[in-house]
Amino acid sequence: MIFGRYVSGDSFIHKLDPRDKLISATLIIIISFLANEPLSALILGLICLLILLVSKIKLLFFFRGIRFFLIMIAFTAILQLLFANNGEELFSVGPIRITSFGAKIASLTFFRFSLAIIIATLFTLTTSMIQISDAVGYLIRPLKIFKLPVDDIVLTLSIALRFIPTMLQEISTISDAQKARGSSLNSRSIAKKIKAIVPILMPLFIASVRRAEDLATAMIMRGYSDGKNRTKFRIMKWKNRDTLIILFLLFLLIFFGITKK
Amino acid sequence: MSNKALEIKNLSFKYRHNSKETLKKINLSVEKGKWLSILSRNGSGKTTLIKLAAGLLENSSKGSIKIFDQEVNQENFASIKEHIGMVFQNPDNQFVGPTVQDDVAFGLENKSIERNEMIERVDSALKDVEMIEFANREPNSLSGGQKQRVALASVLALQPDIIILDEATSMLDPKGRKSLLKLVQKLRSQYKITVIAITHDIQEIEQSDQVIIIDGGKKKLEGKPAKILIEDEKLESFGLEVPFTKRVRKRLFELGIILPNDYESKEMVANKIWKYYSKM
Repeated sequence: MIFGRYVSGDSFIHKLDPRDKLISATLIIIISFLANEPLSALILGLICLLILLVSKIKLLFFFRGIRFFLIMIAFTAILQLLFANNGEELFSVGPIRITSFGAKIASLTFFRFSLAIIIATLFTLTTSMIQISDAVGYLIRPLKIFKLPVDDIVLTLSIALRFIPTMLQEISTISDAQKARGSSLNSRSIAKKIKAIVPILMPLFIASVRRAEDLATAMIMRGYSDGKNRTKFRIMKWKNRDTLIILFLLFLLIFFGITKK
Repeated sequence: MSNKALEIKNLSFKYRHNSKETLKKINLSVEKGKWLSILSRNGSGKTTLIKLAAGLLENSSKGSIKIFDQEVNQENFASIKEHIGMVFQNPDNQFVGPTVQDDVAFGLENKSIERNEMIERVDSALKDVEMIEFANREPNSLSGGQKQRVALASVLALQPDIIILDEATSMLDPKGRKSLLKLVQKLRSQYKITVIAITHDIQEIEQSDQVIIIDGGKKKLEGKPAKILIEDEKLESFGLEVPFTKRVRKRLFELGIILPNDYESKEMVANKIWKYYSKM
């Protein structure tokens, strides 16, 4: 499973502004719902393939990673193919009737959902967690007028992301320690397994509270008071190419919107 | 600026929920640029003392705490903080940023420092702690010793006059500990920083100019490391580990071999033993 993972690199796609990538990914998914004929679907499919090639992510690695999703989507599409009864009959084998309508919605379902998965995976593969949180933080900035403490939310988010690996490490240490004390974590009985989770969660919880306290002291000593009036070390640079990509996608959106049958 | 980095007079402290005083009439003064080690058992008031000195706890007693002649209290907290940088025990719990350079920049961001200057200061702080090639690394790819170096850089970037090491080496392996101490020593002489270290570590004590022992909230001993480290019976009664060289000397004494009774480093004791051996 590679959805949500980040593979560092220096491709054109990696270097795009994360805000651009977030908006573009959303736009492509919206456009895919307007593209309901072979030609427009082909255009979008080619765009996706182009992005994938430019991102320099290994094709085999990529498709292996999303294989599970593709199989699930294909399964759904086949069900639609079998159970849609309206429209012209193409052929039938015994009780199974394949109709033109069924074929159409099955292929559309497969196309739209695979495209969404491919685009979303490409986004996370080429954009680090911290870039995503910066981009989200920027895009929710208008919410400041509702007195939402956007800067604090973004800082909290980035600290939370930073501590995920640390906490995973801690969970594995604690569960090793509990196993050494004869915990029934490896037991077959589900009830025993659930019971064995409590002695892992409790130390984790206590350690996290202690960690939070230490972190707060460290932050205060380094001059943190609140999110306001802070300058930014990490910046995002919006370039002309980012604008061009958004404009191109908007054009496609409008074009497909108008020509939609 | 005054020559006294820290001056504590007649300080007592009691937590609200406690009936007993945690600190009793502490007097202490540290000159600018010196290294003070504070030794004591766990739970005997050293962390309280440090928190009071940094203004993280409110001093409710009649005693006074001064940092460069400025009284430490709630009103002065902002300017007191400017003088002090703290490195804590657990390397993970003080790493705020997603990468090394972001972490060093965190304190600078808080002070609204302009970005170009920020980049310069982050770079120079990372060079000072020899971590510049790790600038883009994430914390979970670093060793404990490396994380403490980053913590030191984060503090250094804010250009403090006093660095407090709150058992900063206690979670490190001997090698990491040694190199961190060496680094602090180098930076101290380079930037004329005063170092206040809470520690159980003999190496750390050896490096300092001045040592105090606190037990049961009271100051029990004060002096130069060589003087303090001779008092092994007393050290033991404070629950502290007796230096290795001391133990060697004691065992040799029991075997009828007498080495001179002044405290020296491991290498010097080893040399003495070599000389003794070659005379045999």
